[in-house]
Amino acid sequence: MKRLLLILPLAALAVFTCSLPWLGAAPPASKLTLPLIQDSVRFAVIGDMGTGKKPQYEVGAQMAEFHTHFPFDFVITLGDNIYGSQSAADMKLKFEDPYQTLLSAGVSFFASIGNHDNVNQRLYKPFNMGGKRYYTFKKGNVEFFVLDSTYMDREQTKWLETQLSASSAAWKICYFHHPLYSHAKFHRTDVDLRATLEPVFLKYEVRVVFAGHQHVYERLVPQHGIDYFVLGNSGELRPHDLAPSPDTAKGFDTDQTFAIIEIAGDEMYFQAVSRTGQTVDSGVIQRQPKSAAAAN
Amino acid sequence: MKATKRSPIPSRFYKSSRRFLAVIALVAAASLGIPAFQASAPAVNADAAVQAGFAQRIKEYMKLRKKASDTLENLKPTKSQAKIKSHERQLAHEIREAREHARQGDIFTPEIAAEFRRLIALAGTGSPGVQMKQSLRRGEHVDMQLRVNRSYPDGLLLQSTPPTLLANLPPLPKELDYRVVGPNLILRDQDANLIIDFVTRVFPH
Repeated sequence: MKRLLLILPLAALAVFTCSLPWLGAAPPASKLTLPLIQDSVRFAVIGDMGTGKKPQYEVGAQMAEFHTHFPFDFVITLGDNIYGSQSAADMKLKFEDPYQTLLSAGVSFFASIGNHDNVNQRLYKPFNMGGKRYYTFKKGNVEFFVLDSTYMDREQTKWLETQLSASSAAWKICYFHHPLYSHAKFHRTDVDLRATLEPVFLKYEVRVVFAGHQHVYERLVPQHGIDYFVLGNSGELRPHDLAPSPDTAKGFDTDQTFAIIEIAGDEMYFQAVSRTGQTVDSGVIQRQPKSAAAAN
Repeated sequence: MKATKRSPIPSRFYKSSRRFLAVIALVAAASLGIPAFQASAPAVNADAAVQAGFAQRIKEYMKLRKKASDTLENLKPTKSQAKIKSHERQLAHEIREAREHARQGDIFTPEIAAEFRRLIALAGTGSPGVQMKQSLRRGEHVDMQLRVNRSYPDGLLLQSTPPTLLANLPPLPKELDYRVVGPNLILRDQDANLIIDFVTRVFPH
């Protein structure tokens, strides 16, 4: 009887532990929804992360765990890379330490500037900005156009048009801090920025746009044929900030997230993952040149 | 006999009316500002003159800035954030030293400040103006004590400057930017993170 009394609580504890949501341990391969196609372009997405607080570290650990099953080569950041002061100690606390495992594994980061960032971050080598506020880089059949949405002057828009018109990449992806569409309540959408950028995106067939700023995850129903992602909760979080809208394809505002992306041929596979490792969104986007779309 | 067709208007009239038309054309061309007619009496638009003065003061600042930055090592991308911050502080220090007596209004003189208020009011009209005002309202607002030669506080966010506003203001060299601080507009040296001048109450608070 005494033995039974001892075993029962232990058994109950074991059952309880197994029923807990998966925390910390390496994600089972079944958690991965991406197809892992040979020679695909693989990357992760984070935004508004540089708090130096525990949730940022937990997201960093989760990314590292996913990296073991889905070895992405680089991470794009959607701005607000470093909140508050930006000393050498801050860069360590708010960037180098949370992503230590990824950095050690040779994963590169390509940053964009947010409204909390000192523009001199462009000189910080681990952000790979080449000393520029806005820049472009290519990976396989994908070209990324990284913008500074805090200061969209004539020079930058002219530069963007020149770069996009010269690009022969199959996939043109833009990313920057302020979203052109969002249904978060705290910050409203920057309509002036949208009026400036969207005609350029449409003209040059930009297919996907990533932005942060809103401390939620949201994937919009395609707007004029462009898929817009908002991911500004990889460190900061504004719980229950999303307002329901028919234009929201998927929203998540109760925990921090990051996303992993795989591009192979004409398909872009995406998976948004929470701090605790739950998949909050996944799917595939087809690349379809506007000329083809118009013909259909 | 061949009949000759005669004009009912005498040729003398033709000559005098041609002269008259030529005089009219000259007066009209001069009043329309065709360059060939401006050489003797340049009529300069007052707003353009004020803006040219602003451009000249920016040019002078850039000369001074170049002298200041020439004393420092040319900073390339580096892993050392300490080096980046040190460069920012040193550049700010050198510029402050060179502009020790700089005061508010040195660059934004009263004339150009009035011109900026006019340009900003103009940018606020029509449909792009409505969007610009919306962006200003929806931006994260910043409040701080403004002083020329003061560093923009480390860690304080920057309010975005709406594209429509930027399209309506005189262009700046890439080292400088216009930033919104409450109802004011500041002129900032980006690399030095330094306020070099400001104009107050240009936006409705």
